[in-house]
Amino acid sequence: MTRCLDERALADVFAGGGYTREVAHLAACVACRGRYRALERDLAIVRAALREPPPELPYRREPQTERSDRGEWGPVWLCQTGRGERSPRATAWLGTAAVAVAAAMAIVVVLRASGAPGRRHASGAPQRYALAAHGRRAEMADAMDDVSAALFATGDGRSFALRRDVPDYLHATAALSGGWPCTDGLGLGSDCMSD
Amino acid sequence: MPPTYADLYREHHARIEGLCRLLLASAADAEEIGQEVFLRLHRSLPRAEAPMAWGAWLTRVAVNACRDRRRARWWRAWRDRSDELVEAEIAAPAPTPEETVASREQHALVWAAFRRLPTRQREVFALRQIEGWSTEDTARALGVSTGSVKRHLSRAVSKLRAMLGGLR
Repeated sequence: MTRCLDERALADVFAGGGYTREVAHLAACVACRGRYRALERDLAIVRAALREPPPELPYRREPQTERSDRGEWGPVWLCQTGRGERSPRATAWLGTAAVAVAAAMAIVVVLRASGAPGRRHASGAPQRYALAAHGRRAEMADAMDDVSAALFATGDGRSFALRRDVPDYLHATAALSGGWPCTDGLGLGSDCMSD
Repeated sequence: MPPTYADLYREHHARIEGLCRLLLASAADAEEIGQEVFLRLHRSLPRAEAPMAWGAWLTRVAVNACRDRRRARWWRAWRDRSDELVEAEIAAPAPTPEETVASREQHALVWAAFRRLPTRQREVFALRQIEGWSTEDTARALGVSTGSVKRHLSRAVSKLRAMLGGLR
């Protein structure tokens, strides 16, 4: 074998898994032997570092509330040093969860608000619902009055020839003129239409 | 005369806790697992009938306990995601003499690189290179073949060197 070993082959030999030809080349090649020694030096550094305790995190101060020796409650600065302590991202999911819960609550509120009449009626407030319905009917009647007046206010109604023999002639005439029939004495008061 | 619990604790406790620190990402967890391992020793010691290689037994129990701990921690992924941030903090140079800073940074870099290895590679590297176990003993302890131990060690070495490019 003439080609020099690549890094992978050197690592294989180091781990005891290299091919015989690779081991033989290593024994014969000065350059590869030098690289192998460099690998061993690197791993000696790694071993030495790993035999020491893991590096501690710098002081991360967190305010905590705790009773002091004098019996007062106040902030106490604690120090987190281990890597196993919660890191900011380790608890980041809590923020996401809070947003999800808030969104779910908002959806529930909106749904309840939009589906309210039926639910309220069924849940024991029929009187209030009836009053609301009555109010809506009154509003509708007012709106129809306005529409009627607007439709016939231009005098178009007068040009419409209404036969006298139609039932309820007075009401029909009043409607066409944009008003209501007089009610005193069946619509025949002094200011009522006489024809 | 069989060893007492106190003898074994004195002889192996620091080593086992160091091993757990290598296999777990947390010093606090390592301490806890160390206690668990010696609690098991305390229970098993009176029941042992034949002489045993307690050092190897403790190592096997520690490796398995660390593996269980890693599996049990469902939020591990979240913690691993914070590696970059934490390592950046570790690597921040303190106002100390140059050599101290360099050494400290190298130490932090090595640990950070080691923690990035897959679990099995970390276990193999720890047993073979730190504990000084043979390939066969490591294979037996981890329940894998000797070929697998060699492959994992080779990959661990390659990855560590790639990650730590300029150690010298």
